[in-house]
Amino acid sequence: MKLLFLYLSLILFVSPVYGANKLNVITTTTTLKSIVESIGGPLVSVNSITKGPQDPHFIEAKPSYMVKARKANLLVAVGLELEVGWLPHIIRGSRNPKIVKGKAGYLDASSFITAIDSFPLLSDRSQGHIHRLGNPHFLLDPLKTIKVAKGISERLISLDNKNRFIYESNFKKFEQQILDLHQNWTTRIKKTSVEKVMTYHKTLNYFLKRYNLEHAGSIEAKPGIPPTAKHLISLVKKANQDKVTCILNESFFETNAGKRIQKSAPLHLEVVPTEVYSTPKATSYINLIEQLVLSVENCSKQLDK
Amino acid sequence: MFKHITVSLSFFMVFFMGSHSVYSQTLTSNPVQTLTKNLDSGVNALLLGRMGSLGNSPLADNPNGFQLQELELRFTSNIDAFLRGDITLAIESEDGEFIIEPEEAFVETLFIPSFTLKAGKFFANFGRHNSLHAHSFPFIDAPITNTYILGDEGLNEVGLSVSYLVPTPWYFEIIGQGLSASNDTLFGSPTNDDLAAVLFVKNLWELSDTSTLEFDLGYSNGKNSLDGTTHLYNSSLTYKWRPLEKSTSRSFSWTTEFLLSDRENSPTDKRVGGISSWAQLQLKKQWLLQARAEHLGLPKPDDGDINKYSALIGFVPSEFSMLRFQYDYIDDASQTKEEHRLSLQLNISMGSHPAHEY
Repeated sequence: MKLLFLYLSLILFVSPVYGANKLNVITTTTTLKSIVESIGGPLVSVNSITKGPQDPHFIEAKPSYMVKARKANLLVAVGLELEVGWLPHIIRGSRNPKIVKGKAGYLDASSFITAIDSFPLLSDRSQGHIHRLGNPHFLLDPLKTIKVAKGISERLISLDNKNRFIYESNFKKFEQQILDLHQNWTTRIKKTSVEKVMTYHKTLNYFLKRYNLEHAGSIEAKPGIPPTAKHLISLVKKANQDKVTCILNESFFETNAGKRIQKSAPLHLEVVPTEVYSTPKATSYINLIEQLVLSVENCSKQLDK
Repeated sequence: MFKHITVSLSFFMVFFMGSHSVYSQTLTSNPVQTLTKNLDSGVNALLLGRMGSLGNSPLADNPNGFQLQELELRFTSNIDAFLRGDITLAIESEDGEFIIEPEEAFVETLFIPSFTLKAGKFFANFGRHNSLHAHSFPFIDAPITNTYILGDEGLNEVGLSVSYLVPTPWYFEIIGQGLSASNDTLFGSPTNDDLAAVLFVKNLWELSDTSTLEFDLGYSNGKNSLDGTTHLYNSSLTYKWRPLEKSTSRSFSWTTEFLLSDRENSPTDKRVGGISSWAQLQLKKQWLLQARAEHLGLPKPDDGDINKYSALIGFVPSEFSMLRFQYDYIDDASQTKEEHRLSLQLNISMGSHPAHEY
């Protein structure tokens, strides 16, 4: 009994105190973490549930995530059902009433943007793992990200009003930086000979749309279901006919199928990051988009050779 | 098993959650979406084909041939800002007739920091396997240690539960449960006012970004029908690994669980214990390989040990369907029988499906 008491008192009183006075923010993805850090700077301490190389569609609701979420003042999620398979479980398990949906501590990033690729409400699962409410990879469009960053800064202000001016000025800085780079990215992509692009999953649709690149097909025939040989043959045919010059193969997915297409059609395959830290060079939000732009440029260079 | 109190509780909850969604439906122009938002409902169906070396002899636990193993209808919903409801109705064959049974029907709190209170009928938090629904069993059947010691239905009672997430750097949860002591195998208390206490402690450490270790301890006691007390002990250890990259095509997990019951004044099987250990290996996106070894005899049942070895191969086309093929070898000294058994199970999920426990 004495031992038990000692054990209990140890764990109750020796538990560490994390970042006193900082707003404790938890995000579902590393990309959101990078954006929150740009706005919050040293005023926030941010933890992401998924690690960079992990596909945020398929996360197990590990109890250790509940431990991370327990003390959070704010939870930022992508939304559009991206996290539907695991996040509700983590929120409940954390027993943190502040971050329950509908409370000030719960922020759904998708509420600040208009989604593309939304399906009619009655579409069914024979179409694969689809997101009924729309494509959740909107943060790969830098202009949509500005809207999300604004929403995040407003929420940080409502939770921590005394630092309002810092959040506001950080947001303005972030916005300007993205707008300037967006000019640069647009010009660089326009200069390449790339017009049509294949991807593995529909992860890059927002990015492609923003920079006027056409999505010429997905390697997976249906979301979440591996490609069949027949589907790959049709992609090879399409790549040859429609002059598709580039496969941007998201790093979450295998590259074997893409390489098989590359063997039979005059196009180039680049493995690209889709979240911050999903590849080693994508070390921040800006570097993530920079890597995507570089990959498009690489495709073009390889083909000009 | 089919308790009056549970039935009325679940009907009350269905009525409550159902009526709420109908109410919202009239307020918006988008009824389908509103309905799914307010009441998540889903169905799991388990279809089973079985062939055993003992055929349909009375010694065989299960008959040969095809059967509908179980249908689970599940309804979950946040009731309001304070409570969440969760109902699972199971339809299964018992003595040749299909019966519908409220497997779980409970409400739990959403608004109390660090604590969750739960009331209703539910699988007690007691060990790794007991709280699983049939569709999420790691193998086609439950471990013999669980079915022999806790009974076919497991420890599933009406009662209350309080769980506390202790503020430690690792996951440390203490769950105290007060349940009606009606489990026939363990307590068999004739009246509902006898309560069994169940204490469960769950620890999970994140060893690295890719692996976790879980160590759980459980203890329960309650009056039994023989004027004695039944004590139950449980401990389990689980290791899980899943890489960060290509996380859907590689994984490994290994669980070992020990169960012991001590039933005072019981004329048979006063002290029975057993150990069950199973591992799952995934090397390719849609394929699973599994193995399980079980030993009932720590201490021995009166009639002798039971040993069972199982191997399973699973094909998982998507998150919503799974085809599993299992081989069992059962060496049952109690009935001096040996059995080889093959089972094939199709496990499908329709509609909304809440996330599984880790």
